[in-house]
Amino acid sequence: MKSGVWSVVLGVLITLSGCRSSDFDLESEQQVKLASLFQLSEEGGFILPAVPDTNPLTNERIELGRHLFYDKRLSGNQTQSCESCHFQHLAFTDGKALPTGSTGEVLARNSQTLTNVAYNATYTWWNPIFIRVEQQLSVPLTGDEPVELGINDANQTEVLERLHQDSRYQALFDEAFPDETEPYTLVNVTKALAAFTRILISDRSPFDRNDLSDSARRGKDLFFSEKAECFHCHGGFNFSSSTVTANTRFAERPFFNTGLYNLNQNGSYPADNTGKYQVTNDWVDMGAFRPPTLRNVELTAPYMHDGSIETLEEVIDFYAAGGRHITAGEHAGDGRLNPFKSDFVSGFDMTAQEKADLVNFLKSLTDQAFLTDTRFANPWPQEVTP
Amino acid sequence: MKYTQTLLFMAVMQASYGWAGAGHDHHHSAEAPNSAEALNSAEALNSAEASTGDTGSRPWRLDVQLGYQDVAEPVIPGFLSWNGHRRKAGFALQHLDLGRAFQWSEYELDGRFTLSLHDNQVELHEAWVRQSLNEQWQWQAGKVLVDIGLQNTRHSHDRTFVDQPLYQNALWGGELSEAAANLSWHQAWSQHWRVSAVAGLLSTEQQQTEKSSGAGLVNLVLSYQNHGLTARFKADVYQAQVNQRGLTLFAFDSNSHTHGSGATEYFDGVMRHQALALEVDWSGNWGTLALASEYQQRTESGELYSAAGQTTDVAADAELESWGGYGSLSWRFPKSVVPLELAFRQQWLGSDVTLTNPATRDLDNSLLNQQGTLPQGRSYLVRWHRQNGSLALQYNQWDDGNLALPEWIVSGYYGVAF
Repeated sequence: MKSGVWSVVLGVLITLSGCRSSDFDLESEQQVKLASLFQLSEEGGFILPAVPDTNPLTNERIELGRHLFYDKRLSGNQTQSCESCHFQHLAFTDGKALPTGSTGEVLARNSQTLTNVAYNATYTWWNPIFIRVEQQLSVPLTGDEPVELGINDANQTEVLERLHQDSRYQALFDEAFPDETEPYTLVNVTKALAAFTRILISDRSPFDRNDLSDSARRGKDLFFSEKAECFHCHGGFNFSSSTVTANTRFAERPFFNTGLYNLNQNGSYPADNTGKYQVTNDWVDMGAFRPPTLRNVELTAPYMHDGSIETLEEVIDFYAAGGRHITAGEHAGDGRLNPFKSDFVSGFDMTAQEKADLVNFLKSLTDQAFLTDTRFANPWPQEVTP
Repeated sequence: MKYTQTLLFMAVMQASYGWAGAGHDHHHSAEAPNSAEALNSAEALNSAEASTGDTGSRPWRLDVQLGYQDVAEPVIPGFLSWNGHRRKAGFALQHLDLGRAFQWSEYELDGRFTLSLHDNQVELHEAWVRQSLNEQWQWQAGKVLVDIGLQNTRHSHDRTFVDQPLYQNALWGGELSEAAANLSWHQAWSQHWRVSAVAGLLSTEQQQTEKSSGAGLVNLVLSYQNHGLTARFKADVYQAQVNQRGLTLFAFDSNSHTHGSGATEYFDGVMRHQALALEVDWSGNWGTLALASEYQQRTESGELYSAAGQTTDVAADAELESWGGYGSLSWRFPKSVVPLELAFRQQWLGSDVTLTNPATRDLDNSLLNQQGTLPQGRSYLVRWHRQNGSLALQYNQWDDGNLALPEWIVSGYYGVAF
């Protein structure tokens, strides 16, 4: 009789085990499980970005950061917000060769896309020291050569007080920094902006869905070929070799001289744009800039660190030529012969069809959902947009 | 008188099931009498002595198994890999054991060693000694077939079915033989009821651990015997702490078994394993009806990482839950009628693999990805028992077509003591 009972018990156990389905889950949700606003798509298959322990990613910080990103009160003279140079519909660029700061100064370098900025191995075009977005944010917020948003010692208190006086910010700051009695600090503004920019993930393009035209497929083959060499600097899931993830143990932080300039026949670049050399003073770093992501590259024209090339077709022509030969003017010089140029920019022959294929492939990296995602959009009602 | 009854009971149980970590069982060997016959004749004691290591005049034993199967046993995805043996496709020597039993009566000591031939390589399968301290207590040390579940302590020629249950292959690499130190305890409650328990410390050699690791095992067996009915309920708890457990997560070839370190990945972590089993044999003039059912489940948690020089990067935090079980029914005709045995088995296998903080997506293409499904199936067996051997034909019917598993298996077994 008791054997019968055991049989029933074991039979139930085995039946239950037989009914249970198996599952394989390769997801990285631990570090951002509190932030449902951070989302990676199934098709993109991205790894989590690095998130510093000092600035955990929470929905509250992201929301505060989004409000700040679109708020002109964050600039010293209340004329610009972060968005002024980073429009969502342009993949968070501004469409200009060189942006203008809040006081009218023209910046030396092109406004970079914020697409997948969380994965950048370094920040800004040229600086190898900034390895966290929190560090980089000091440049647009408080930089004075040139001035961007123009927060300085004289107006910092006033800027923060503007935020403090807004009841919406009172709630947002309290929720984002619940353990702080006086959360209205520039450090917290920086943390919130960093949190917001970390969720700007673009991983839903036709490329991610493997939804490529025949032309784009040919372009893809060309992109990843040794003929065009594109993938050496723009490889990996983020199409940039300057990419790190949460689990990168030995980060590579590459900078490349692409042969845009060759002033004085000695490899020099324009004095205000010498690239990594500006930090290292090492001539091998002359004209070396960070390879940006090519995701949404269709929307981020004009191109190169100084916005000196207008279209994707021209960019391809430039690389096919192995650099740029400027025959006249203050920047005259044959960049193709720049002694510090990367070996990957060696030039190649291509047909018109191949060029079109390559462009079509690059356009397949455009993520329409990214451009209209409401998580990234201006949170302020139109009538009260600061 | 009572002590004699207890001895008789122990003899029958051990001949039938091999409890107390006896190691090498001969559950269904051609020489073993069925339970009804054993209970009613002196054969029971003789059989028990043979199983427990009485050297007698024929201390050596040779078991040979030859056979055919349509496809090779595949590596089953969804689990941390084991460096186990898998049967090849076609005609092959499936198994060969050469063993010797020892007994030193004056010390209440017995022992056994067994050499096995696999893949043209000879392995030491068992080498242990055991001593009875008194009527209740025994210790055992050496290399043993670890007493988890019902199948692991049985050599392949002693099992009802020709192949192992799926869980045995997936969770234990087919057969787990480790260096161990066991202490066992037995107590008879009555003429019919008996309880035994074993606690042991084990090596983790078969998991190819390269840094200090170890395991512990506790099991409890409750047995009942009354005339033609014998039953056994068994529960096992196994836990291992492994450091640098060697894995081959991208070796899909079922012939990839190697000896020594061929690890391409490593795992550091904890394995917790539980097993429940029930066996019931009912014998009469009409033969022997045997029910066996098992359920095993496991949780493993720890870190995965790649060995130096690998082009893949599997670094991730791993949490694996896996489970498997079967229920089987067999009917063995009385020898006097026809030496035939019919058996049916239903089995299941599954796993949930959760990998967090992965460095790359490389694990998508690894053995850990079972594509969401794992096989279930039914097996049908006919075995013709002969003196010193048997001939078996088995057909497996699988529900999951993703994995090429053997369907037709033929096996001929010959065993002799000398």
